[in-house]
Amino acid sequence: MATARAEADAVLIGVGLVGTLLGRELTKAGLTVVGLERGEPRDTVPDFQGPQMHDELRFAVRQALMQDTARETLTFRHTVRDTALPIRRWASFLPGTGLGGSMVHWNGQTFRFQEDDFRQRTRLVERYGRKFIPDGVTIQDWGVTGAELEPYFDRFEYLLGTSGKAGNLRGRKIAGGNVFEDPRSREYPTPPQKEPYGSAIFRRAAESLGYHPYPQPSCNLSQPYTNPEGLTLKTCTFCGYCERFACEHFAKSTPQTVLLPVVLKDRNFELRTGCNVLRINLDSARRTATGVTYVDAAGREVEQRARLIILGAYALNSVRLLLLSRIGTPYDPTTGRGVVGRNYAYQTMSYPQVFYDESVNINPFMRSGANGTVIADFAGDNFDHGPLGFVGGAYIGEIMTNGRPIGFHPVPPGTPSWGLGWKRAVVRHYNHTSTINVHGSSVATRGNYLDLDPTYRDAWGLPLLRMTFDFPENDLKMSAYVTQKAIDIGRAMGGRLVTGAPRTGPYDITEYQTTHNTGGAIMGTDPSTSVVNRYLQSWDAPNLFVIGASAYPQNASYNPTATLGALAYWAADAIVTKYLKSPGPLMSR
Amino acid sequence: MRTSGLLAVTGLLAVLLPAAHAQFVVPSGQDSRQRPPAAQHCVTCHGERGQGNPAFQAPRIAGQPEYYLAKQLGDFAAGRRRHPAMEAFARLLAPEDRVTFAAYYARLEAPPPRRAGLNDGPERGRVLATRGDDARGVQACANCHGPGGIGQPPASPYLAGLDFAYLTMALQSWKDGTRTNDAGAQMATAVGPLTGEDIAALALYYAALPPPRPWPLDIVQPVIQGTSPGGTTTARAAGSGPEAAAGVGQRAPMRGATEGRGAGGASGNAAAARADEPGRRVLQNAPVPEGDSARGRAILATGAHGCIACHTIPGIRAARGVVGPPLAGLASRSLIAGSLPNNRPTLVAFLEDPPALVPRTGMPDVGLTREEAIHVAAYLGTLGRTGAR
Repeated sequence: MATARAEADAVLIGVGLVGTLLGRELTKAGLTVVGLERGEPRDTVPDFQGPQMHDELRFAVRQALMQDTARETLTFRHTVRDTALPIRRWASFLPGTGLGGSMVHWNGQTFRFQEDDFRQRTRLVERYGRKFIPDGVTIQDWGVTGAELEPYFDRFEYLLGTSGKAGNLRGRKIAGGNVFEDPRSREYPTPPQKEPYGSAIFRRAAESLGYHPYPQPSCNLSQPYTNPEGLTLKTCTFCGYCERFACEHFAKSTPQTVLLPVVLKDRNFELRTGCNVLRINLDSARRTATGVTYVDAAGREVEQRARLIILGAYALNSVRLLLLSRIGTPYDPTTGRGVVGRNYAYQTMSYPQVFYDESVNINPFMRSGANGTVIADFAGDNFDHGPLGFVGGAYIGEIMTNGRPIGFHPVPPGTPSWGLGWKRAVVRHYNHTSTINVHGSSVATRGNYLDLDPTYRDAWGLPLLRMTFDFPENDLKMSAYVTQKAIDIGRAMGGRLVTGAPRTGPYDITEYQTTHNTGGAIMGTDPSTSVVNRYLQSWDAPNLFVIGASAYPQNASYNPTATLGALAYWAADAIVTKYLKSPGPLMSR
Repeated sequence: MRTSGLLAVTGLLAVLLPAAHAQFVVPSGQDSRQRPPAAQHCVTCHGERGQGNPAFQAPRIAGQPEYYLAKQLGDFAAGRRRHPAMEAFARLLAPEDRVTFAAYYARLEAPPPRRAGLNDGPERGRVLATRGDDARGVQACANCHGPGGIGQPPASPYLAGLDFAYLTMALQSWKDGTRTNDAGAQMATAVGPLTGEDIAALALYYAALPPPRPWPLDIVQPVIQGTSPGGTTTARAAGSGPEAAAGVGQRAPMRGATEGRGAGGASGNAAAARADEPGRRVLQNAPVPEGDSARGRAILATGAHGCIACHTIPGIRAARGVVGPPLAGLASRSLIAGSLPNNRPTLVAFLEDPPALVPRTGMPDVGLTREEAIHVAAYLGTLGRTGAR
């Protein structure tokens, strides 16, 4: 029998990026807020300090900051015809756990999605005609525009202190920034990080081919920065331990460094860690959420009632919790009806490599998670798709995030995969190889979706989430086209050998690609094709907001975090200025 | 104390300044194991072995990373780090001489200070050093200065065993903004939130720790052959212009590349200066020609270099020494002298001049030429696991 706790004004499911942002906005609005985090409390001091934090075996190989698959994982299959099996060990993507969420172990790449991404279906039809979008591709508009989100992007970047260079200031294009970006209201809060040598070679090569290279916007900071919340971040030291690690230097923007200390000090906020939410409870009419039921760190079942519920877990877990709570109609791929689990998308990556002779020292170890030089000439709809027969694109960049000793062993094709020959090749090529990142979009399709697994259950006896996914043909075509462009740049970079192949199917769940899982609880303006409305408010229970990358109708070329932050501020603004004044649906069904 | 120390330094300066610049010219490419002639002026304050002198607030410099020392000298010369005596001395040195000085002191091993090992500082110092302070947003010093304050070459100096007064003064100068010559204002943001008591606690903590021995960086960081004085290459043309800011004195090896981040033009000179040093040349991954093991055996057997006086060496009847380790099975050991990776180029370098690589080894420089060392290494390479041959 669940213990009941006193009702709160709002409860947060997950205290990562979304939980932290919403916790701040809601307590500022005077609400009492309970934050439920299933993982452990942790902070820069003392948990992330050196030299322990640079334990590559513990953090990168054994995934110390990731969700424990022995307690909860998901099952995977390629198509509805296959039987899904549980993922016992994360590989393709790495959902985090613990206070601060996955943003603790992110790389810090901080892009804004573009108007073409937010209004993708409309823009594609306008530009190429109604028949251009391939059959079975279920991309749709987000219900919010880039112009509407600009103030929230701006606010989010100034919270994080993002280091970058504007390419479009209020409509004025600026060479050296991303000239394809939507107009931004002001410059980045801090200047770009220093450009590594490999990136400098890339920039020259890209310029020689007529492209528009610019420094990747980074949340590993280029200089000390005090954000509007009064917290100070420090300068990145280029140690190369960002992704899969926490930052010991206060130099990476994470909930812990940009906001969480302020939230935790607020007397209206209560953090409870080790609390695993089992379900969101609805009233008997199933029209309003009444609170959540969770298992606390001592294993007791607790009911926390709340008037407002913010579901901001990792994208996949938010979708699962909706399904477990039976909120919204689960998606059915055979009929195409239902919404929860619909439009799961990923990203489409490939990695050409440029091998130099020994006179060119790339120094891959001297990097941060997000410094480097990229081009957006082939991102999104920044180029003419008319003759190409696919939609979407990729940004291309020399953005090697690290040269860590266990993980980074570039060798050319034909190298033995073990033994003396392999070791010699690693020694020969380690410091003389540049990796180019082709970071591509992912369309939603009718067959890629999330639902509950009929067989496998988690440590609490609840069904696991089942992922059904394979690369859409559209995305493989996109990868073939853009990867070739990247290889051409690689050739212009003057290496001795350029290798690389586009992404090909089938999707390999055992190879790391990217932790950019999106969709499943997507936003929109039509309840028959979306789970939440344009304010990320549930169509089914208006006092429930589902905020996160689960809301992306499909995935764009860029890294998703900044867009997620902007959406969180956008939703928070709607809650504070609209919903709290008049609780109820913010859009009519 | 501080005032009188400063006065002493200034007085000294007054005596020394009239000395002609020529006096400070050190031939480039000088062997960094010999004290550069002009270093007699360093000795006055920093001590015969670079052990420092608290009376002058002159820190211990022996064994500090070469890059760090060269950068400090460069910064003193350019006025980026302020100290009346040091600015004057540094300006008198040609840039390549600063590198020579740095290389010399980086390899010098000085006796530990008397206080080392006496940890009587408050617990607060240890906590700040190893964990930081969450409430003040201060990270652990160990993140950059290494566990036990042993430093993290090339850029982060060791703190262990530095003098209390110097550490206090240095921390205070970062805090009050009179010292700003680090990258990214790291020290200002780290020390800024600390109180005077915090600074004293940290200084006590580090002053009591034993200083590290010099870093055998040449060994752990492979160096590429062909660093030519002036060293422009096609690679440099590709992008190490001013805009490649984080980057990378090309041609210079990994360590040289790191230097390029902060020292700008100095790194090219550093690479150039090093190229001719005998102790360095052999450490570069220059292909070492195959030796002739028979000739190597002959060199050992003649006893001309005294190897057999200390070592028992299989296959050489007279070699029955017990001073050093028996060399049976040498080829299958992981380490040379217990500290260097056992591979042929390193072995050759070690044979040429053991103390240059392992400062505390009992094995002297026995005067093997490079060619002889190559042949001897070839013979030692035949001494496999069984030791029998």
